[in-house]
Amino acid sequence: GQQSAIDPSPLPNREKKKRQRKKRKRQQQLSSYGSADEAEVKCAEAAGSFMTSQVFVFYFAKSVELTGVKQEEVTAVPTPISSRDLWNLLVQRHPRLSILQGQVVLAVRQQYVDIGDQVVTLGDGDEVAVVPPLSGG
Amino acid sequence: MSDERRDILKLSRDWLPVQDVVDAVSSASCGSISVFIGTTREDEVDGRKVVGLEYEAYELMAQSEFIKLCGDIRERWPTVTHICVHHRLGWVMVGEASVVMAISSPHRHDSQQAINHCISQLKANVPIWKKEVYDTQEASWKENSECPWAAVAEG
Repeated sequence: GQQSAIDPSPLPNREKKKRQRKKRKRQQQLSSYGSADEAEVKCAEAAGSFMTSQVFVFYFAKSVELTGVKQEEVTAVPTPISSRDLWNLLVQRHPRLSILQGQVVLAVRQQYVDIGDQVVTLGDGDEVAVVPPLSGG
Repeated sequence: MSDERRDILKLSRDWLPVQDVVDAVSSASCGSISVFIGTTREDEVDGRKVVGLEYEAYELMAQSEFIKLCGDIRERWPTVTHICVHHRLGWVMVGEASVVMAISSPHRHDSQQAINHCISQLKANVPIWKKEVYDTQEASWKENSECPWAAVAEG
């Protein structure tokens, strides 16, 4: 506009509202976890637009021996999250789990999930399980 | 006996007689009951003898995967009437049965095919694990080759 040449007073409401709209749109974009890069993720965290959930994690067979734990509550798990990031989060808690790398899948709400790019959403109280190779029968 | 088709998975530490599993699938409309019994072999691995197996399960998911498996069986062999699987949990000594399954159908073809498929798919998909315990007190978790994420997965 031409107001800067004619009117030296503070930003008119129209300009303020335009900037506020742009800021809101940016925050909405940042809250889409899958498409954010690291800098944007930090920005989104600061803006408080990240979602996390508290889940119950169950360990079975060899993973019990590796972690020393049969089940635990894990808080502040980002959601949505890729199954690879979820696995890495568990390995960070229990480094010996990395021994299972390549021969393990997860189960989320009793559905198998391969460890990779697949994105899962987690709600409070959801069950996550570490599933080593099966040997029933 | 109701007409409703039964899909029964029982996971328990108790010994269940084979007859009970057979009785669970019996029906006046069925001329065939096929039975599979998986027993614990006295294997020798690297000079160590197996003395028994220790089983555990993700019970809630074993039930839901079993329901899916039964659906798959019934799609492939629509005349299958009842399906019953009993799987032991906990300690199973060498010589004892760890799994007993029975499937009934009017004529033998479907129940015979279905029972074979049932044990293969159970090994591939149902979240149950076994640990071999040796006479040296060592133990090792086994992996089914049917399981897609095992180190020596089939296909």
